[in-house]
Order: sequence, then structure tokens, then C-alpha cells
Amino acid sequence: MMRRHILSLAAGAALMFGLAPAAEAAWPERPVTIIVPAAAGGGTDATGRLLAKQLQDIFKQPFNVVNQGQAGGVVGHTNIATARPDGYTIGVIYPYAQYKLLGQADITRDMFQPVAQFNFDPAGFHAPANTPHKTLKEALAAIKANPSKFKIGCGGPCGGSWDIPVSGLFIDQGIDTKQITFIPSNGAAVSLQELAAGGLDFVTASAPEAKALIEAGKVHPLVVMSDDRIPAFPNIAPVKEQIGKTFEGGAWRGVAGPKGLPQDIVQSLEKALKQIYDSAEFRDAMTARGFGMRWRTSGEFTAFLKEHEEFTARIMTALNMVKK
Amino acid sequence: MKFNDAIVGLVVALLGAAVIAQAGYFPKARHIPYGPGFLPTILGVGLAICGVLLIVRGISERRTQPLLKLGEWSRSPRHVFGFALVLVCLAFYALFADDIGHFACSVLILLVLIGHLTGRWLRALWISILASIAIQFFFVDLLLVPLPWGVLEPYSGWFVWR
Amino acid sequence: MEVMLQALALLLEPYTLMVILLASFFGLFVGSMPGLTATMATALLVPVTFFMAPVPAIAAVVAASAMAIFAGDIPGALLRIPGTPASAAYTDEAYAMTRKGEGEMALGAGVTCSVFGGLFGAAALMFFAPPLAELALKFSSFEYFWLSCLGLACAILVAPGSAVKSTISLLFGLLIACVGIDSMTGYTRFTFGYVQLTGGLSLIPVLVGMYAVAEIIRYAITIDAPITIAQKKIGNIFAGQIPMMWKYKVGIMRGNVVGTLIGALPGAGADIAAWVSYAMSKKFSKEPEKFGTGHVEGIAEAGAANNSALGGAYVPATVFGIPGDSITAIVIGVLYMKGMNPGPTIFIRNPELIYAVFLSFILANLMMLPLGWIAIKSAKQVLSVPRSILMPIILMFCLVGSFAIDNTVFAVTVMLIFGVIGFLMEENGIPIAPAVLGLVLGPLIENNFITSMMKAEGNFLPFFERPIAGVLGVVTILVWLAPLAVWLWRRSQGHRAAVRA
Repeated sequence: MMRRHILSLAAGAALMFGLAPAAEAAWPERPVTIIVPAAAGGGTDATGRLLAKQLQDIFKQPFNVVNQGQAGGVVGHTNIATARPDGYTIGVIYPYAQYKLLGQADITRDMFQPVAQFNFDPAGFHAPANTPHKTLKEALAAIKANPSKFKIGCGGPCGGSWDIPVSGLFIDQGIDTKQITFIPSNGAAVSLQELAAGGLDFVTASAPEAKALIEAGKVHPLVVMSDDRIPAFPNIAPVKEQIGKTFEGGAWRGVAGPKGLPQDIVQSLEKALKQIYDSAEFRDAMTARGFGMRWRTSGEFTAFLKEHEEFTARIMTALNMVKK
Repeated sequence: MKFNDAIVGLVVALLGAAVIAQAGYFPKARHIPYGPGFLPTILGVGLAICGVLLIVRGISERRTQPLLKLGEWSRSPRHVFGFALVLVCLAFYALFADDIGHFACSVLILLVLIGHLTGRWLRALWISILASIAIQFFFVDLLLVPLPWGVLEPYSGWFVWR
Repeated sequence: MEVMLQALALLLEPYTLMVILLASFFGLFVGSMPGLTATMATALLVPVTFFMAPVPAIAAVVAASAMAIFAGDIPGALLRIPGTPASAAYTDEAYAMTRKGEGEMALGAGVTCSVFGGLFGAAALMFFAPPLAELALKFSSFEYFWLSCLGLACAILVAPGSAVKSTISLLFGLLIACVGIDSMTGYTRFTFGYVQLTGGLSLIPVLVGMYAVAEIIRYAITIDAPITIAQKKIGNIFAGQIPMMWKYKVGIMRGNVVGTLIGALPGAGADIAAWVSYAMSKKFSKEPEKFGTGHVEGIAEAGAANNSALGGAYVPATVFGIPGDSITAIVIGVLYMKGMNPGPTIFIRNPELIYAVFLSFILANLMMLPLGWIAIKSAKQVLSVPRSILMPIILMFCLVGSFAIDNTVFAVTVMLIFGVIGFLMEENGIPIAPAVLGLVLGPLIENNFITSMMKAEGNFLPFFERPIAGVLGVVTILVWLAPLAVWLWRRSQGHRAAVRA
């Protein structure tokens, strides 16, 4: 008897709360969730937390970071895309086009409402310290001459932020990429360890990820995939300096919500993010962690996602990686 | 709930067979004749072999080992109910926590389980409410674990003291 | 030396000491709660430490994780539910001791050997970090493949009872590790169309299900009043520890060394260190027949190993920025965030900071003696609460812990299913421990096998070509074949004897 009584009590309470009208006051009137499709302590998590703290200062409501790093980000991205578009669930997104191409999950730009991009890190290409190929040109020539001989670590699952842009460069240089053995791993650290242990010829990863091993004299960086030298690594020549062509690619991070996010929320979020992006606090923290800064407005970010999906599809098709 | 080894073996062998059948469809990795189906196939074969060994053992011991030996608890309705209650509570949480929220689920589950096990429902009620508040405070407010708010979602701001 | 003094001064600031103390209590709580692990303690500390100064931030993580690994032994010994995966290897043993009335010996060994192991790991970190890190950097996928195969042998060595049933359990554990996206090829396996399963089955919900939920089910159907541990007196946990440690000094030392090395190897941490040490302890013991009946020897060795692994894991993390285990994977992020970028320069650029971190290991481990004593005493208090109230509350903590690992309610479904599976396995004499080891080692074995095969272009020969890999490979094959050879030999002997008779 007692049990039924309690149940009806709970149901009554639920009804009461459910019926209470959610007044259309200024967003946000309660805590906002930021889904970060990565584990706590990683780079994406750090950027998410930096943003969350300052968003909280601006909007005077808690912005709570929720880490969902399982399945290499598939689950987190899916949950951002399928959240209720009420402005109380947003997320940090990063390169995702490979999920669909690998048959892991149907995630496309139509499912997101991009708000702003705030970060870009160019991919890097690294060799072991004792490599005979000291420059990008030498490495490219050697790979072109004998592509099946080389084993290249992807610095994560293949089809990710680092190997796709580098493969794009290979294809541009007329290298038969289908013959190269690309070796996947659980993250850049694993690939770099393998490189230092003498198990790989090259690894694609960002320069900050390889920094400790570069300084230890275990890894020889060949290039960063950007037009200009990056401030933290003035000694690594970018693609443009080495082969005279513009080639930019790597990891990016931006804030997005589910499709259907009301435009006024998008605008006020974008404005707040721009304010954060321009603040010295954010810039210093990003630089300290080795993250590159790049701003794209909601509109530019939307257009960029299209570019991202098309580029990834083109390269992965050329690499024969797309799941039919 | 001790089954005869032959039955356990049959289940294991069938699992092994199903895994082998599934793994056959998995593609190979680039450039090598191994892929995501390699390890599961080995595991499937191993399970099938172990399953068959158990079946043989179970059949040879069929005189001493009944097909299913239930514990003493199976004759006590109270304990069968307790067994089911643990499972139902977890299933309830899995199904409804996102909708009605962690807090309500926590109070309900603790109340039902403690109430059933102790038989003192009023005491169970206050223990379950206090424990739920403590868990909510420690995990949600202090450690920022995003337990689902459920029906309390529109009011979540009121309960966060930061 | 001057650097050490500076480091000590940084560590002994009142604010830092207070943070360490709070983090220690937090670690003890998290570790002794089934479902909450040392890794999760670290992950949960990230937002808290995010805006702290470097030394207190890292010291907090160090203290919390060290305490959590030790505290995982407490519910293992008292409730037969391991508090963290690192205690799973010897949970049954510790519980058997408690049932025999030797609870204080089991728990005391947990504290003292944890302290000893932790201090050893910290010393190794302080004095041998660069050469150890160089060694760790010699390991490629071939070496890891053989090492993980050696680890699998532990499952069979450790498991009591029927070999067939232990093997089934191990294979099942390896199989559940296959669920989800295969990180090598990106192919999705055994998910039956559920996006939630693409991430695979996380260790914690499975572990909590198989141990805690199964234990709660067993409690709900127990007719006779269960033995209440609290009625059995837990006396002075430190009594008899020194003679015990002296008696097993070789084993404990072996645990220290093995733990530090396994910790220093990227990818393997305290969980695996405990398994390997427990198995080695049994293998080299003068009285292996006592294992499984409540014998302290294996607990001492494995208890030392899992705490020394913590220090070991910081070796590659600080020297090369490569995480030694799942905890340091998070710590590296914190180090970057604090401007203490890992790498050889960390010892040049701000040596006082990194040595303060190392000293915090020593401090945390010394504090473990009194705090561990307090924790065990209060655990005893908690256990005087009737089980009928305690068990549901433990279930609720397990539920929250499972949720927090991936922040999804789906984990509760996993916990439920594996609770039923774990219950049925135990009822039918299939041990659970090998399945847990299979789940831990599965990805390591498979990823390194496929990676190696890709590099070897499908040949087996390169698995033996590198010097370390060759040695490990031969050792592995011998370890796996030795029991078979012994069995065949005994059989033939028995056959001959039968013929003679």
C-alpha cells in the first residue's frame, strides 16, 4: 500500500513540475551543458573548459562540461546533433566527416547549427631522429619512388585530422598513396612512441603533440601543414616554404549546437565567443597549451564544414578507405 | 541456479558458433589477410571447443548433476521477489532516468530495496531521501557529474549553489 | 640539492598541504567505493584543479590516485567487491582471509605493502626516470604483443578450479572487449545497430555489474543470515606486518620492481601490474597450494605492485610526454595546462616544480599509513550498518560511478546485464576474474597484433626479429607450452605406471 502511495506522490510531483510553464525569458535561465566528445584531461576537454568558464562569467549561469569520449567521439557528436535544440545543450565539435565515410555513424553538417570556430592546429609530419630524409622534399621523393616500402603512423585512427591533410599533399605530389601502409593507433602518443621505438618510418601528428620527443632528440619534425610558421615552433618550416604551394590542413575545433537552435541564441553565443576569443586570458591559456587560434563566424564555419566534408571524402576515396 | 554442465556447455558452444558466423562477414584490414574478424574467430573457436568439452563432461555426470539445481531461495517467494526486485530497479533506472531524472529514481530505488530488505518502510523513506541528497550534493555539485535532471531540468539552476 | 629544498618548500606550503590532505580523503573515498576508480578520481579532479597552481594541482592528482589504488582493497577484503580494477586480482583471496578471521592481516598488508610499493615507485621515478623512460621507448607493437600474451597466461595461472571454465571466462572477457568500433580498422563489431555500443563496453560498468550487482543479487537471495564481518573483530591492522613483510621480502621486492616496470610501459598500468604480480607470486611461492584459501603472500606482492605502478607510469609521462597508464594520460593534459610541458626540458626549465611533484608521491605514501588506518577503521564503522541498508546504497554508488565513466545512462543497462551474467557464471563455477583480465588485455593484444601484422606485411617472422621482441616471444611460447608439456609428461608417466601395474 505504502509503495503505491509513494509512487502516486512521485507522479503527482512530476506532473506539477512538468506543467509549470517555462517562461520565455532571456536565454540562458538555467545551467547549460557543453558536450565535449573527448575524455577529461585531453586537448579538446581543455578548450571546452576554458570556454565554459568564461561563458559562465558572461551569462551568469553555470556552463557544465560533459565528457563523452567513447568511440573516438562518435557518441559525443551524435549526442550534440540529437540534443533538444533549446540552447541548453551545445558542444565542441572537431573533424567528424570520417565517421560517415567509415560507416560508423551518419553525422553530417545538416545535423549541426555551427556557432563559431575558435581553433586550428596544422597537421605535422615527423620522422625518427636518425632518418635519412631530413627535409620534406627528400621524404616526398623517397616515398614517391617506392611507396609500398613506407609505414606511416596516423597519430590516431586513420582517416583523422592528421593523416588526411598529409595524404592530400601526397596525392598532389603524384604519390600512389594506395600502396603506402598507414598504421592506425589509439592516439598520437602511441604512434610517436612507435616511431621512437623504430617501428615506423613517419608519423602524422601535430607539432605540440610531438614537442617532448622533438626536444628529447627522438623525433625529427619535417613540416607543418600551414602557410606560415607557427609561433611555438619557429624552427619547423611550413609546406609553403618547402615546396612553394599552399597546403593547409589539420585539426579544428568549434562550438555547435543541434540543428534548429534558435537564431537569437546562436547570435548571442557567437558574440560571447568572439569576446572570449579576443580576451587576453583565453589567448594566453591557448598559447600556453600549444593551441593555434583561428576565428570563423557562424556563417564562415558553416561553409567550412561543407569544405571539410568534401575534402575528407575526396582524400579517403583516393585512399580506398571509404566503406561501401 | 546451478545448471548441468551440458547446458552451460551448449550455451557457450552456441555463443562461439554465433561469433564465428558473425566474424566471417568482417572485412580484412588494408594490405594484410588479417582484420577485425581475426581475434573474434579465434575466440569463437575457443568457446566452441570449451563448450563441447563441458557438454561431454555434463553428460558423463548426468546421474549426479541434475539439469537445473535451484538454490533454496527459489522456494521462498520473498527471496524470489528480492531477486527480481534488484533487476527491476536497475532496469527502471536504465529506462527512465533520462526522463524523470536521477534524483527521483534514486529515492525510489533505495526506498523499494531498503524497504523490502528491512521491512521498515518509514525508516527506508528517510534513509533513501537523505542518501539521495548526499549523492546529489557530492557528485553533481561537488564533482560536476552530469547526472540527468529529468523533470527537474527547468529548475536545475535552483539546485546548483555555484 | 638546492632544487630539492626549493621543491620541498613548494610542497610544504600550507595551501598545498591542505589540498593534498583533502585530495587524499577524496581518493580514499572514491577508491573504497565500488564503481569509482583511481582513473575516475583523477578525471573528476580535472575541473577542480583546472584553476589551481601547478604543484597543488598535480599533487592533488598524485595523492588521490595513490589513496584510491590502496583503498580499492578495503571493499575487496570486506565485501568481496573490488573498489578499483587494480584490486580485482586478489579480491577473492582477501575476502577469504577476512572470512577466516584474518581481516586485519589482509587490510594491514594492503596498507603497508601499498606504502612500500608507492615509495619504491616514487624513488624509481626520482632517480631512474631518464634511463627507465629510454627503456620504455624501446618497446614497439611487437614487444607489446608478446607482453600482453604473457599477461593472458596470468589468467590461467591465477584462476582456481576447472581449467575449462577459467578458459571460457577468459575468452568471454576477450570477446566483450571486441564490442564496438575496432580502433585499428574503424570497423564496427557486435553493436547490433546501437550507437551507444560503438564505444564498446567500458570496464567499469562491466566490473561493477559482475562483482557488485552479482553480490547484491546474492545478498537478496541469501536465506541464512550472512556472516557479518563487523562482528568479527578487526584489531590492530599493523600487528604482525613487519614479520610478514620480512617473510615475503623477496616477493614484495619483486612486486615493486615488476609494478614499476609495468607502470613505466605505456599502455599498461596498475590493473595489469597487480595481475602479473599475483600470478608471479603464486608461481614462485613455496606454498602455491595455499593461494585462493586466504593466504597473504599474493596480496602483499600484488598490493605493492599496483601502487609502485603509479609512480612508474609518471616515468614516460614526464620524460617523453607519453602516458604510462590511464591516469597519467589525464595528468599530461594537466601538466600542459599548467605550463609544465612534459619532456626532457621539464627537468631543466622548472626542475623545482617537477621535483615537488615527485616529492608529493613520497608525502602521499607516507600519509597513507595514518590515513589508511583511519579509512579502515571507518570502513568498519560503515559495515556496522545493517547490510539490508548498506547494499542498496552501495548499488546506488555503483550506478552513479558507472554513469560517470561515459556520462550516459546506457552504462546502467550494461551494469544490469553483466550483473546477471556474473551471477550466473559464479553459480555455475565459472570464475569472474579471468573475464575481467580478458577485458583489460583484449584491446592491447588485438591492437598490437594487427599493428604488428600491418608493419610485418602479414609475416610472422618480424615478431621475433627485434632483440627484445625475440626474447619475449620465446618466453611467452615457453610459458604457454610448459603446462601442456608437463601435463603430457605426467600423463605418459601415469600411463607407464598403469601399464607396469
